Amino acid sequence: MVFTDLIFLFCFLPISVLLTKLIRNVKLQNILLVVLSLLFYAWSNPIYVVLLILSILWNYFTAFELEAQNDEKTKKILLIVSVVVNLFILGFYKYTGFLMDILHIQSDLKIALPVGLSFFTFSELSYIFDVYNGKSKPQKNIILFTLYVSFFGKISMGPIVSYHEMEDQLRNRTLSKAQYASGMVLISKGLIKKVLLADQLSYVYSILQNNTSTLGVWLLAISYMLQIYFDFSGYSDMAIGLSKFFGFDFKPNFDHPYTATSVQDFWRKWHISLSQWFRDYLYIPLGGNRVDKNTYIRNIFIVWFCTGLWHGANWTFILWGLYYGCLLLLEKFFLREKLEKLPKPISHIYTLLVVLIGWVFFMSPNITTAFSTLGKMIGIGTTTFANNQAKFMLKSYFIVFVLAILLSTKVYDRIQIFVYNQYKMKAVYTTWTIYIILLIVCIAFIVGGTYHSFLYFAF
Amino acid sequence: MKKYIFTILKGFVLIGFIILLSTNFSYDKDSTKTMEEVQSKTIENIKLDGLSQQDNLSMKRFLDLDPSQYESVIYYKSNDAMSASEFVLVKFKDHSQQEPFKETIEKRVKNQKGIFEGYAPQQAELLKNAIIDIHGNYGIYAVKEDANTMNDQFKKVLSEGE
Repeated sequence: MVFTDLIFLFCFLPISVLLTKLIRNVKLQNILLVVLSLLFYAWSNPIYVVLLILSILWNYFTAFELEAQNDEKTKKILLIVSVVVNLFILGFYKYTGFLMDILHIQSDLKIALPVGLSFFTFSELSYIFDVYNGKSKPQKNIILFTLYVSFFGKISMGPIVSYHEMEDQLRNRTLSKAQYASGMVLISKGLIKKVLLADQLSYVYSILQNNTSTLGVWLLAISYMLQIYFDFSGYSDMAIGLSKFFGFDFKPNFDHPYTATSVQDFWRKWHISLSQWFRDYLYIPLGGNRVDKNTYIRNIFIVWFCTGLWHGANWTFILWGLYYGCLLLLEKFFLREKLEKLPKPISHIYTLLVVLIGWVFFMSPNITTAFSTLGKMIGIGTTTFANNQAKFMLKSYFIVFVLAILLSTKVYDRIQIFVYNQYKMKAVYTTWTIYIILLIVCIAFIVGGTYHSFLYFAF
Repeated sequence: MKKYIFTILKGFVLIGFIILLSTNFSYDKDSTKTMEEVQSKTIENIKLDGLSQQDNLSMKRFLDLDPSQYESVIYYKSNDAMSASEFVLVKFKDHSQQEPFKETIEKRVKNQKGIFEGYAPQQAELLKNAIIDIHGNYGIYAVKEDANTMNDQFKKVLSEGE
């Protein structure tokens, strides 16, 4: 089940919200949410619930094992063993095929990746790290721990909420009209971003796959760049929005990343929960930037290698991660002062260009295709500057591109604030009317089958 | 002792993981046979009277299947609106398509049952005995009187020469 399924939007979610509202007692609410979350997870493949439960039990017991151990050396060994098992499970499902390709092992073995495995494994790792570091006490209540890991609002594609951020909310939550309202706004925004923008841009991307003109390849790359943003941020908005219906308040996962003026700034705004996870649980334990220069460079490469690898089992993702590692080092040691002195539009264009190049690696099936695409973007290997197909797609989807570019900036938010201040309640009613109309259009698209699964589902 | 109780419990969880992961190794091997070969052997000596091969649009319309997602799909459906007879042969691009295909076909069977249960009990009976079977990279769905024979021939052609 995904958030854009009709059965989720019109059946699962409303029933879940209604039942949660009817049950006042938080303890009973938590039991209900665990049952609903396991049902949600089992929807695609019931066998994966077994994996989820085993993973929960493994980490639940690990926390107590760590707490009971007084010897620091043994405690560290226990932590390492637990982390290795978690990563082995993740690696088995996600990277076996990749490893077999590297080792040239021929086999019919094809292992499907359970939905959300990368996300809930990282959530659980944050829990055992928090317990090991003394940041959190082991959660004695298995229902609460299961809810933390399996909550259907975030299990499929995040956000990756650290345990210490969600700990209090597991026991104490309030449901207010303001939460329902802001949740509804976020769900609407997310659905609109996904169905009306991301899915339309995905058509452009799929049609221009084999285009041999320079314009066509640029449109291909730009459409993917915009598609992945609206797809993933749309999902995140829906996840955070529907979580509010159950009293959970999660931090935003995106903050207009395409308005960034440096690569470092970009990564403060893109998939924020993942960046923070790697910062808190890998970068800082390695020493962060409080080390000598060589160790710092090593730390950056380790973190970004892992970031790339987390996204997928392909050399293109690893290269994408290392590419950003190199750029961050470049900015840190050479470009930072220069970027700060440059006019904002120039540093903005620089950032968009380097991010676009990164997405070319990300979207390509292999490294050769990635470099070939980059070559075509500067005219190498193209047949013409703009062929009929590219011109047709640009003309047909011009408004989609313009809207997508504008809405990826803070223009909409600024207009909304201005209009609300000027027209107060009239503006609120008008906005709600527009949202409702757009929601109906989204539903029509979904019913018509003209929508696609979320991109980040694959990670 | 308290220290070790959790280690013991984790041992059981580890056994659970090993059992679960090992299920990934018990799978039907993919067949190297072409769709033409599989089709011809599956429908050998099977009466296809009143059934005609359908196009991609019909697959999307009746089965909610997008043929472009699969390696190959063959769909035969009865020309008689009062008949539920139909069959599908599919060659998957990868195993992750197996479950979604099965779910889509089960939905089709359920819808068809709802249509025929009221006024065509014989057709409803055929639907009750519908065959949905998957072996490696091939799948079959059949609603026909001789669906079992088709399935036997389907399994036989896939296992031949492997």
